[in-house]
Amino acid sequence: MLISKKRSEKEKYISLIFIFLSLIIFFFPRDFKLKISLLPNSILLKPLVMVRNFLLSLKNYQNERNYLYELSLKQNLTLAYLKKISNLSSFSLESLESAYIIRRANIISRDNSLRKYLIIDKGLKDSIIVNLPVVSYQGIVGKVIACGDEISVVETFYSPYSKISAKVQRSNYLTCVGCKGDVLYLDYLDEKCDIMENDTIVSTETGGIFPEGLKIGVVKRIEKKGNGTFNIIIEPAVDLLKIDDVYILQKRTKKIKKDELELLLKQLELKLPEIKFIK
Amino acid sequence: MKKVFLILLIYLFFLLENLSPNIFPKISIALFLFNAFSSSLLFSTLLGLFLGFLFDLNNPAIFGINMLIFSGIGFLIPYLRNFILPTTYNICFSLIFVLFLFFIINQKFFLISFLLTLLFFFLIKRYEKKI
Repeated sequence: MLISKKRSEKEKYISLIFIFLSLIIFFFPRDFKLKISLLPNSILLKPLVMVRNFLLSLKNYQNERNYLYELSLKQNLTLAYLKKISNLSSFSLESLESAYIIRRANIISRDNSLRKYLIIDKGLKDSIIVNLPVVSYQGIVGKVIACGDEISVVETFYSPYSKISAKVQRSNYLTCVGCKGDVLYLDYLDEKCDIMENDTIVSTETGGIFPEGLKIGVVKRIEKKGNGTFNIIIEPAVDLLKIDDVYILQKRTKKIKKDELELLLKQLELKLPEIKFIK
Repeated sequence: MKKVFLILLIYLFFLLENLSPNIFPKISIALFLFNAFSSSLLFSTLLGLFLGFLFDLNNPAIFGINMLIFSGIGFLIPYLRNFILPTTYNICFSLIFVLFLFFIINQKFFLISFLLTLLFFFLIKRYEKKI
């Protein structure tokens, strides 16, 4: 009993010494405390630091992964857009081969202006018919307007009667290319039209003659008129004075017969009066 | 062996608490208090000193104060064993007191951690015999 009491007294004093020790440590100068805590800090908190670093690196990896994912997504989109543009702008005749029969024709004569009408050495014997698109490697030339047995007349985009359904490649804005006094211009524009200089103008299938995406030209100048309208001048992609052969595109798919179409539209017109506007 | 295991357990919980101090319950403090109510005066004081030392490592600017407080509590609880019986009420009260003291000293208060510590305490109390 006495021994255990003595022991507990001893324990009490040792404990008090420890408490007193901690009290002394508490009153140590701050710099000294920082110095003495450095070593135990590095040893005892090392697992904590390691786990924290690991978690942080995981988080960083996650952020990095998300960033890279977003980046790759953006790049894919840009790539798709660039591919689309490159496909449209660098048009190759080979790409049209699947949908069209391509016939090469030589220019054998021209009109007085040398570029409004061209005479080519292919005609009805070569299955050339009216309204077939005529192109060159640079872009659109015009369309066939008359056919003989061995020759045909091509109306180029410089003809005052020529109207080519077109669109702005960048914004997909639909418009129409016409010619006035040997200058190509854009028609059917409103105030909301999104067109800038150097925009590429390509053809659309809306007109029913030319295939989609053939280059017509680039926007050279935009002139604003007083009444809020625009005058947009186009520089043609094809220099007609420099070419001596063209390509005529013939659709491989069966064309709808005009009579058949008209009959169909007439039938519809009885039920839907609006159909005449489509006609 | 049991004492070494307890020290390691407290150290382990201290590390876990420091990973997310505002969420993880202060299990190390709860374990220290449970031990203080049942173990010897010297061991309890030393355990308090060790736990305080660990807490002080996180806060070198006030190095020593946690050691002093925890060793003091580790000394006082077994010393006043005749007055403070290890009842649920006493342990719970002392736990709340120590937690508040800890939060005041370290100038941080984590409500979720505090509530989870109390929840942990009641769970331990409930399954004390099984454990």
